[in-house]
Formats: sequence, structure tokens, C-alpha cells
Amino acid sequence: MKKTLIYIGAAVLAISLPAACSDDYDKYDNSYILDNDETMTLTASTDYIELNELTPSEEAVLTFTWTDARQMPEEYTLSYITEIDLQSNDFNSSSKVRFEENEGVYSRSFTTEQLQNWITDKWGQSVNFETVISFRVIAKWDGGTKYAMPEVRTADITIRPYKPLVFDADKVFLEGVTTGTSYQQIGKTVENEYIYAEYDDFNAGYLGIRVQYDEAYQYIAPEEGYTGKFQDGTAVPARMVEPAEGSTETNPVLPEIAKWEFPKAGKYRVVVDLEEKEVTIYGPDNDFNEPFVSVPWYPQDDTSADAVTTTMDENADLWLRGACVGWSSDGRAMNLVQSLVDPKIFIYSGNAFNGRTDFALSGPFGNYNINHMCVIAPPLDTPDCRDEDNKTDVDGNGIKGNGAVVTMGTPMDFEIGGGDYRSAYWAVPSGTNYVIFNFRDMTVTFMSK
Amino acid sequence: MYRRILYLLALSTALASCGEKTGPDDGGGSPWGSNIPEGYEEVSILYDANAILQNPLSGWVIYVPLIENVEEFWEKYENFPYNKALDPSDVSTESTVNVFDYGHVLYLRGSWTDFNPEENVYIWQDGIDENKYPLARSLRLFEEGAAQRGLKLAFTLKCDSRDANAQCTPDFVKDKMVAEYGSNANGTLTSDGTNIHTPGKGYFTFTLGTNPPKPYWSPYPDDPVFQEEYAKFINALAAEYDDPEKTEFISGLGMGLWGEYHACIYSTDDETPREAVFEKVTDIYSQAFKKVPVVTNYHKFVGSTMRDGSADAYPEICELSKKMLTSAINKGFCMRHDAFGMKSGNFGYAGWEKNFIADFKYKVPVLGEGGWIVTQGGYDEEGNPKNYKTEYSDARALRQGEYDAMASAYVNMMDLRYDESYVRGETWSWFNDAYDLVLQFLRKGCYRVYPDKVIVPVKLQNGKEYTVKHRWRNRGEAYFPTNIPQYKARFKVAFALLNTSTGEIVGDNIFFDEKADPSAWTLDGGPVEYSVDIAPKGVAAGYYDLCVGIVDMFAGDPKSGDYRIGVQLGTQGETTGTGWLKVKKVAVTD
Repeated sequence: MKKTLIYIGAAVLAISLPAACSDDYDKYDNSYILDNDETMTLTASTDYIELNELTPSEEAVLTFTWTDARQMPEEYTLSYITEIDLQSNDFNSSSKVRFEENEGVYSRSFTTEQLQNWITDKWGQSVNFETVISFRVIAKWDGGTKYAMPEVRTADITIRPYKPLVFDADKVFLEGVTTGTSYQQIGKTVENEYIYAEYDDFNAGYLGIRVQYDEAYQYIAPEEGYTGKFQDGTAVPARMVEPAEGSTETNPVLPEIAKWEFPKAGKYRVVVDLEEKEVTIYGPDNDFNEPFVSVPWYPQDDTSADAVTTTMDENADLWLRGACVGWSSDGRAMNLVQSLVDPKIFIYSGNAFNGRTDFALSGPFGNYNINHMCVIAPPLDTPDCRDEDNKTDVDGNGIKGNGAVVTMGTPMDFEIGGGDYRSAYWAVPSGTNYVIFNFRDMTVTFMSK
Repeated sequence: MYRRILYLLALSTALASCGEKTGPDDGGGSPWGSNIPEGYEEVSILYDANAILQNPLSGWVIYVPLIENVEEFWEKYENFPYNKALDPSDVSTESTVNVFDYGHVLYLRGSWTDFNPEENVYIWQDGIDENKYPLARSLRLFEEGAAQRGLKLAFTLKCDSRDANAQCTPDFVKDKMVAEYGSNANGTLTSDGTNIHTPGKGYFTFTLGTNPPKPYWSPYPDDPVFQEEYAKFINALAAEYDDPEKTEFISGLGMGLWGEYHACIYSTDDETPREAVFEKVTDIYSQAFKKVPVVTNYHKFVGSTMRDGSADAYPEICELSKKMLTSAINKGFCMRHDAFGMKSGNFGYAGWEKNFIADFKYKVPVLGEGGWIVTQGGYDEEGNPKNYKTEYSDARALRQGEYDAMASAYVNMMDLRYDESYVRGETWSWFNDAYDLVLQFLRKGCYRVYPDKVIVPVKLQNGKEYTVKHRWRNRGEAYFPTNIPQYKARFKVAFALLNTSTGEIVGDNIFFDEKADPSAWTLDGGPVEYSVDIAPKGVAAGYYDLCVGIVDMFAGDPKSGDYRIGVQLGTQGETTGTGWLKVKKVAVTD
């Protein structure tokens, strides 16, 4: 995509053109017939303009100025009216934009936002083509003993609208000196289709986040007022920008404003959130990247045995336990995926399960089965989560909890332990096939996707 | 509003002229085309083409019936969705507007029965039982809310029930007729499409609806009992509301279909009483309301038994309409029409109406109401257009058609009719289909008067007389109707010396120009110039703001020196907090 430019002041034109004929005051082609005593001139700041989305919304990018119309006796009341329209609409009453100018005002300016909105929304023009708009100023007299011919001056301006930069992506790539390669594609996260993330070794230098969307390239840059200077772990508001000058359709060039600093070599986590329009980069020294390590625990609570320490890293897993696996002593490995957004988040996405369930921190090993493990279970004071020891019903049977009630989609606290935790469960609803374990918040979220 | 006083031109010698139009030969930049006297300055004041001005008998009229949930009305109208894309100058980040920023008149439409449910019971009375008469509560809440918001009230009061599905004239009036005429009181009107009328003496009965049909009655306008009771009601209304502090106008005459005074049914079963009734009722209104303008409908069938038909086919009826309406105008009535935008020569606003009002351009103010109802436009099962779709392609075109028709009559006020949904209907349509026209009427259609040049002394001495020359223009298409009797003594152009700190008039240093007539300032007519003598007295030496304004002599307490500005001027000049336009800071010496 070409870089859009605004040419202002390069071509200052004095324009005096025949009037269009769609309103009362210009039924008369006065520029041809009665121009001998007319004095008004119209000047445009340019005759061609390429709009740029990044131009501040309040900044005028196109200005018309005019001079006094001819002097008339004071019995007349002079008004200046300005209008802008698509040239081909010819100042149709339903399409033109009209301004009654205050007395003493001799100019009318327009912003990028105004012009873009009118061209695309009001006049229905494509952003892919140049558009010719017409501006006219009408000096109109009321009163007087005789009809006073209005003075009308019109200017035509060619405008290239911008293609709106949509904050979305079909593909996301990382590039720059940090990557060591020209660019590498990164994927959507398992847990959120709007979040792209990568955790990898990078060189010192700068990173570019290139986006391919609708067969065009854009870059994700810090929002206006923000910087790409390294801000470890801080979510930085972001915006889409066009590739730098010199880009081609197939070879975009990273613009300076879209460079994200990496101060030193090491393992970085890059999180691009298209929904929140934020970029978060965690550096090598940020303990955010540290995996969760459990306290030592003992299978079957046998402290004479060797203590086990579970590290929840990219290779870690949990095992389903309970009614969901038919009380199998082997349980079932969940094949969790570690989140790229947060290393303390693990996601299960697989076959649905339901019924009383908790999760073993480790699978069977040695002489121990799944019933001897440390588990992730509801806090023990959660109603109905566990069997009630030493309590029986009227028939003398032990009272069994049905399992803690699960609210689908809502993070629920969990605790880790052996002993009583091994008889505490959630009552997982049928259809549950997606679970998020968050070891940072110590919550679990059951979902059906 | 932008307020700025612009360039001063020091010239010499001024011509003394009063109420004169500036002639084509004057030329030059001076209003009088010649020199300014020594010690005087000419001040030019720039016009403001965009500020929204809220002025007497000008702008949008906000319609509402006496609804139960008044609080909801205020909330909805103060947060009303609008199409800001239709105003290229709009930089607001809000998605709603306050409708009361666009109109200052709350037009309460009801029936005679609504306001006078029983003999000698009026719902505006203090201490009325609001549980028994719930409309009294509605009226009270509207009055209180209007006062809080600086709005004025207006009223219209139907007395013919045929289109209302409600009893519009109170039953006690019928009781009196029965007592007077016995069994001869009751005429009948069949409603089976034939409209066969069997005359009685006091009133006629009919039914509305089918499931089951409901019985109603309406008085004959020529009936003496009706006229006597109607006069009593109108006089009671005037006793309460002939007060410019709270009332903008009263819209009569309430008779005929939709209160628009056509398709009338007289006891004679013909048009014999037509003119006499009109004169009688217009007398009642005009004699009751001395301070508040009264309004009546103009169309070709005023007071006639006719409802539809072309003017060419009924020349005598139309000629009498013209005579009657002219009489009303001479009595001080303003004109209104309620079918703007309906193009039909049979029932809409067409040639006769246009020609009639053209003769009264800038002689009588016109209030406009659209005829079509936007929610009723559509197509029947066979694809034939219904209602407004017979004349317009869409709601926007309808609004444009109404606007253009009203502009052709140089209307002072346009209508924002009510819909209980708040998200459809006329008001919603104006703000969402034609918000640009809402603004255009305020910026171009309404009168916008201001002094464009003033020649003032720059130093004044107590006790010495000076002549101030001032020239006025009206840049709006309507005129400021100070020629109607209710406004003649009400609005006066005045100059005053104001304390620069407090903004208060210094002593009684206010100087009225009795010759200045705002109704003579028109867009067509060009500027009108005046001169007025001022003589400061009892003013401590120092600097003061010499200001000009149009004072409302019915507001405040002029007799004790409490003068209130009554008109917002269309200028970029600086005004005081009380609305005076600063012309020049002048020095006063002993």
C-alpha cells in the first residue's frame, strides 16, 4: 500500500469557474454573462489531496478562502453560503453539505475525518479510487429594489480517500532484527482467537509486528501518545499503521513508529491482543515467565516416601480423577496446553467429561496409582464437594457429596493437596470439554465450546 | 453564541432620519452614506448566521397531550436521539440532544372537556382534586416543568368529538341544552358512510367505533347555549393564561373536524350561520386574550360544511373564507395551517391557501403544522401507496416537502408533533430524517433581527442630549410580528447605560425609541434606520456600557425599573448576562 500523503499549499489555485445549475441562485450562468463587475475570487489550498487516517481529527487538510463580492448599496443584505458535494452530484439538494457563513468569515476548512466520511458514507464512493468533489461559495443578496445576481465561484478538488486501517488480522508475523530471520508467523492462542502470542528467544534490537489482513499488510504500532520503548509486562495501547514508504504489495517495510524495542537478547513473551488493541511484551528478567512449582508432596501422604515436586511447565499435565473416568485408578491424562499468554495458565480442550471430578497433579508412577496423588480440588469448605466422614443417612449409609456446583464459564477457586482433597470433587456438567487452569489466580474455569 | 463587536469607523456628521429605509443611492460603508459628527463613532456589528435563537412566536413548537407520565416526557425529550451526521458542523460526542434547545413552546393539545370537566371546574384551579381529575396533575406537572426550563405554554382546545373518540365538549353543556330545548335538543348524524344529518337544536349525536359503537355528541357551533358556555370557558382560560410570562399563544377556534374548523355541522343543516358564528367566536377569543396571541386556521373552507373539494368548484365559499379570515386578522388573530406538505388541491395546502397568505406576507405571523403522519405512510396489499407515500418517496422527502411548503408561507413556527413511543412519529422523524432542516429553520427561517450599525457618542455629559442613530436588519425569512395587537406595546427597542461591572442599568438611564418597529424589518426590505435622543442623568462620572436591546415590557416590572430583554439578537456582538448587546464603552462626565 502506498503511503498516503497530503499535499497542501503546493498548489494554490485561484479558481473562477462556471456555476452548476441546481439551485435558485445559480440558475443563471453569471460567470459568463455578468462577470464584468463581479469581484469575488475563490482559492483552494490544493487541487489534489491524499487523505491519511493518521492525520489528527481536528486538523484542517483542505481550506477554501474567498474575497469580497462586489459592493452593493446597503439596501441589500449580503450572505455567503458555502457548499460541498461530489462533483457528479452537481450540488443536488439531497447530497450537498451546506454552510451559512457568519458575517466576517471568508474561509471554510475541512478535516480528513469530514472528507472521508462524506466521500464514503454520504456519497457512497469507494476508498479504492480517487474522487472529485466540488466546493462553491455563493454571495447572495436579499432585499433591494432590483434583483441582484449572486456571485458563484466553484472549485473542484481530486481526493484520494484512505483505506481504513482495521484492527484485525488474518495472519500475524514478527520481524525485525530481534527475530534473526526476515519474519516468522505466530499463531492464535488456544484460549482466545483474538490473541496472538509467542514465547521465544530473541536478539536485542527492535521487533516489528506485521499483520496480513484482507490481502494487505499493516503494522501494529503503539497508539498515539505511547512509545515502543520496552515496558516490561505493561499492556501498551496499539493501533494499525501502514507500511513505510518504499513498501510494495508483497514486501512491506517496517515504519519507525511501529518498532518495539528489545533491550537485550533473551527469552521474551510477545502478546498481541486484537480485541483489546494492546501489545504486552515480557522480558527475560520478568518473573512472569517463571513456571509454577508446587510445594513438595507425598504420594498417599506417606512422608517416609520420597517427596515429589511438580513443576507446571510446558511439559506438565494433569489427570482426570473420579466419576468422570469411572473411578479408574489410572485416571486419564488431559494433555494440557500451556498458554502462550501466561505460562501459569493451562488449557484442556478435548473430549467432554462430566460427573464428580478432581485433577491429579501427577500420573501413576512406581507403586502408586492415581488415588495416591496430590490433587487439584475445590476448597474443602465448598458445599457438597466431599463425602461427609462419620455421617450416615437414615439408612446408615455414608453421606456422599454430589460435588461442588460448577458455574460454567466462571473462574472458581481451587486448592492443592492430598488427604481430604482426594475425596473432594466438582460436579462437572455434561458437555464440559474445555477447562482453563490458572495457577496465577488459583482458579479453574469449566466451559463447553 | 459568538459575541464580538467589530471595527469602529470614525467619520463625521450624521444625518437625522427616523424609520427610514436605506436607499440604493446611499452607497459606501456608512449606513447613512455620509460623515459622522465629531465625538461620535459608527459601530458595525457582525451578523451571526448560526446561533440558535429562542424568540417570541418563533421556532419549533413542541406538541404534547395531557399525558399521565410527564416525568418520562421530560426525560425522553431532554435525551432525544438525533442524526448528527445531518449537521456538518456538529462536533458533539453525544448521541442525543435536548429538544428544548430547539423549541421553547410546549403546545398542550386537549379538548374543552379535558380542561373543564364539570361546570365551574377547571383543571388549572388551585386545590383541585387530582385523583378525581388526573389531567389536572398532568397540567400542573407540565406547568411546573415548563417554568423550570424556561418554556412557554400554548393551548388548543377541541370541542367537536367526531375525530377524537372522546367527548370533547363537556356533558354539562348538553344538559343545559336539554333543559333549554327539551326533546328538540338532539339531532343525529349517521356514521354509516352516508353522513345523513337530522337536525336538532343544540347538538347532534353519532357513534364511533364498531366493537361496540360508542355514542358521542358535538354541539352545533351556532347554538346559543354552546356559544354562551364556550365564551365562559374561554374567558376563564384567559383569566388564567392571558399571561405572557407563561403562555406563548392560544390556538382556536376548536370547532369542526380536528379542530381545524372545516366540515362543520350547523343546526340549520346548511351554511347560513357560518359567518356569524365565526365573528362571534373570534370576538370571544380576541376580546379574552389581550396579551397573548391568538391563532386560527386558514384554508378555503373556514367554518364551512365542506371538507374536501377544489377551490375552483366552490368560489363563493372560498370568497367568504377570505372575508372571514381577513376579519379575524383585523381583530388581531395570527394564522395557522395544519396540512402543510399535503399537496392536494382538495384537502391539502394548495393554490388557494398560498394565494391567500401571500397577501398577508409580513402582515400576520403564520404557524405551520404538517398534515401527513409519518407512521401511517405505507402500501396496501396491492402495492398502492397510502397516506404520505402517495406524495413522497420517504420520510425525508416528506419532511422536505413540509419544510418547503411552510417556507413558502414564511412561517414563524413549525411543529414537532408528539408520539407516545418517542422513537417514531413526527418529532423523531424531524430529528433523525431531517435534523439539518430542524437547524435550517432556526438559522434561516426564523426571524433574526439585529442592529448592524449604530452611531453613538463616545463621551457623554449628564443632562446633555445626544442623538443615537441605529440601523436594523432581519436576516431571517419570517418577520418579528410586533404589529399584532398583543405585541404592539410589548416589545420596544431601547438603549441603556449599564454598569460595566454589575451589568445593571444605571438609574433610569434607559431610552426607548418608540419609532423603531421590528415588524418592519424584513429580509426583503433591507435595513431600516432610526434615531433616538438620549440624555444621561444622575450618572456618576466614569465608563459605562452603552447597550441596545429589545425590551419585553410585559416582563419584569418596568414601572419600578426592572426591565427584561425579550429578544435574542442575531449578532456576534458581545451581550451582557441579561441579554443587552454592548455597543460601545462610553465615558460619562458630570
